[in-house]
Amino acid sequence: MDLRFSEEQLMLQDVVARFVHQKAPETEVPRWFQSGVTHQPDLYRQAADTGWIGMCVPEPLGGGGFATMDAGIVFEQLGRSPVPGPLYTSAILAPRLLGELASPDQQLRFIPATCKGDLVWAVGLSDSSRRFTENDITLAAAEAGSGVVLTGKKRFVHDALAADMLLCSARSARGTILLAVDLHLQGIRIAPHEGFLSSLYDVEFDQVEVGENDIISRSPSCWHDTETALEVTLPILSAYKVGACQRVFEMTVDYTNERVVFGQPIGRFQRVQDHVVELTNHMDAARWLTYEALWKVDSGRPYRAAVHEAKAVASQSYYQVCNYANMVFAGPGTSLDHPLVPHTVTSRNLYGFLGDPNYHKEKMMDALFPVGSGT
Amino acid sequence: MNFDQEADTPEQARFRREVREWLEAAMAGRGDLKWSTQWSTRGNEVEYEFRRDLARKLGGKGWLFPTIPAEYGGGGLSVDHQFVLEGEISRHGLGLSQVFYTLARIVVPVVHQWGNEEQKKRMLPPLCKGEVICWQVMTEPQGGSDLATLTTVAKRVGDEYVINGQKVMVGSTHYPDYLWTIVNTNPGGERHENVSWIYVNAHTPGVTIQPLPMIMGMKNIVFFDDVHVPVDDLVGGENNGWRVSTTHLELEHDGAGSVSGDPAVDRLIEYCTENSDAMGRLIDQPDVRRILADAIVDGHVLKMLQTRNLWFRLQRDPVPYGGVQTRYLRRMVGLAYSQRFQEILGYEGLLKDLSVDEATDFDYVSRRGPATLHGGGTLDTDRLQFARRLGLGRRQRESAPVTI
Repeated sequence: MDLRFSEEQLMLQDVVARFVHQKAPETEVPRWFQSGVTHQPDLYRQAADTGWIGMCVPEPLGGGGFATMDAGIVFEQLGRSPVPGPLYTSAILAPRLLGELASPDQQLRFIPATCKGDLVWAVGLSDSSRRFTENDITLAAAEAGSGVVLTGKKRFVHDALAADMLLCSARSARGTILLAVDLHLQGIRIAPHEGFLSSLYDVEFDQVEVGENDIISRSPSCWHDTETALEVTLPILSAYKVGACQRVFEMTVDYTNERVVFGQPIGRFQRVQDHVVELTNHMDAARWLTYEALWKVDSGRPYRAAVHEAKAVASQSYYQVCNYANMVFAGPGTSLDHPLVPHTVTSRNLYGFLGDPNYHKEKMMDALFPVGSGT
Repeated sequence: MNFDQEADTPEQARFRREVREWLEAAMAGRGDLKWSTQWSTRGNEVEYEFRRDLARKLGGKGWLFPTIPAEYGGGGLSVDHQFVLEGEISRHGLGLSQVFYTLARIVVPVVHQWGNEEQKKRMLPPLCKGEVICWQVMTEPQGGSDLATLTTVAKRVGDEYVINGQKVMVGSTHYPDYLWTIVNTNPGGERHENVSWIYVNAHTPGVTIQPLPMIMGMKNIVFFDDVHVPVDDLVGGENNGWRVSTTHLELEHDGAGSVSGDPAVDRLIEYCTENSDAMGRLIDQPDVRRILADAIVDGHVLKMLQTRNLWFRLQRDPVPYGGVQTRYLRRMVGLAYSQRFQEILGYEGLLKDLSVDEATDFDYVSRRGPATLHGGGTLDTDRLQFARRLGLGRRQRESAPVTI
């Protein structure tokens, strides 16, 4: 057993930490959130130049061949500001789904360009507002020659406006299919949502033709394959939340020592201490379940239960960590310029992404104890 | 990072084979102990004798206290060996520190850290070899969380201390050989600067032990009436006891860490898999699965953090707040279990079942929720300590004391 990062991993962590500190300083990030469009094309381009877009893609396809744990280390640091934009969807999720479900020709067409940063992806799979199920897919794909015509919408797509391409599920007569859709096509409208969220959109389709070349999978097992393929990326998303929790923890601890009321630092008050205690417990729960899940993926152990468990706990933890931080920061923590605000928003925005904690706990249970199985 | 507890060095692999083989022979026919993660044998004298004998055998090989030097009765082994031993004994449902009820797990590291050479050579071997039962005897009726208000007084008279006072809620069912106790050695002195630790032979005249039944099991009241103890049995220096307490309390407050986990949920899962009602098998029912999922997640988090505590302590780089964190969580999770078990099991969740170990008896799970919120300090002192270790409202973070 070894519960520390290796020297190389610590160096990687340090490189990303400096990148985040320079390119997404906490003084700037709240402004990005206020602007309504959080994606930063320059930052994304630099991340691609550094080799972090498609980092887990095998090297022959233009990727970095990173282990899942190393991608987790990168995303943990990205979560600190938190760096917004389609980093997880475009750097991790889309390349993974394409790598597992697309034909060799499609992989060559899409993946190297993605790794270079020339193709940015949004991903829209289920259309449920809180769960992640095939039955909730509403976008209709009518067969038209060898291709399909899309009508309807993909709901709650993160960073759609920042993307060139949408990797999306649709419902066809033959079942669920997976498509790569050029978001600049005629008939597509990207409708922003307003609310306590950020860069979340519906993508509306009005008779949009998609050719055979862009249908990634029309296999009868398309949805199952999609669900299965994305599982290894879940702890990378969880790692982003772990880094976010860590940063919120640090700023909160600092504040308990700096903020003086009633003649003493608020960290002297036991009620305030209690908030930080609970915050720390949530952070550490997310951290260690996430690290273990990343390790399980890389070491070839059964990981299904672990990745869903880590996703459930990381989502809940980030949400709760922000809650407890708000109890400590009180008024100042709710000012739109405060670095806590992007975290509070993101903790809500990512809470149900690819399924909420209850959904992931069900998946964990299904992996551990399939319903109706023998003893 | 590697979470595989059996990712061994060549020496660990060799040692693991040796330990595994030895334990398989020693534990043959005792599969019933698979979930015995605590000391309690609930009055089963046959099991108690087996576990005492096992402790003597383990102790004889130096495996109960592997990293203590052999001259003091330990194994003279490395932390790598200790990690192997912890893992291997947990495969049989036991913990190194809980083969039978003795607080040697705390007393040994404290005496090793704070005792003089003569004391270490005299006191440690019987403890390390599993030959004696030692209770820790701290709490006083007026004290509770405020340990420093000690009114049990040890007065120096010649070459002896004479102890008078009363301790409560300590020990277990079998009469102890030794009492490891903290006393006031300077009643007029400044708070914290007037206490000392002393190792008392429990058979000394003037020691009276009176059972005290509590909802989690049997505890005791210990009376000291003119108990004469040699001055050589005071450990760590007169009036230096508060500093000695840092080591003691860190270990009492879960700082040691563990790889054993809590088997209560394992038994609940087994029960839900094997039992049905009119709606079908319990484990297939959505409401049961929801509650079970939360219990499994909490148990997993707790085990991960306890493992983290053990591993980093063995690296001599302890997580400063790790012990109090898992202690606080363990109690909160225990409290949540008592309700969750009842939600799934109904009245069955309150029934005593003597055929299983106490740790997995639903009756005990329901008791221990409320009953284990206080031992060694309350949830509130846990959080107080936690805050100090995080450095909240202080110039400096308090670090973890040396325990190994």
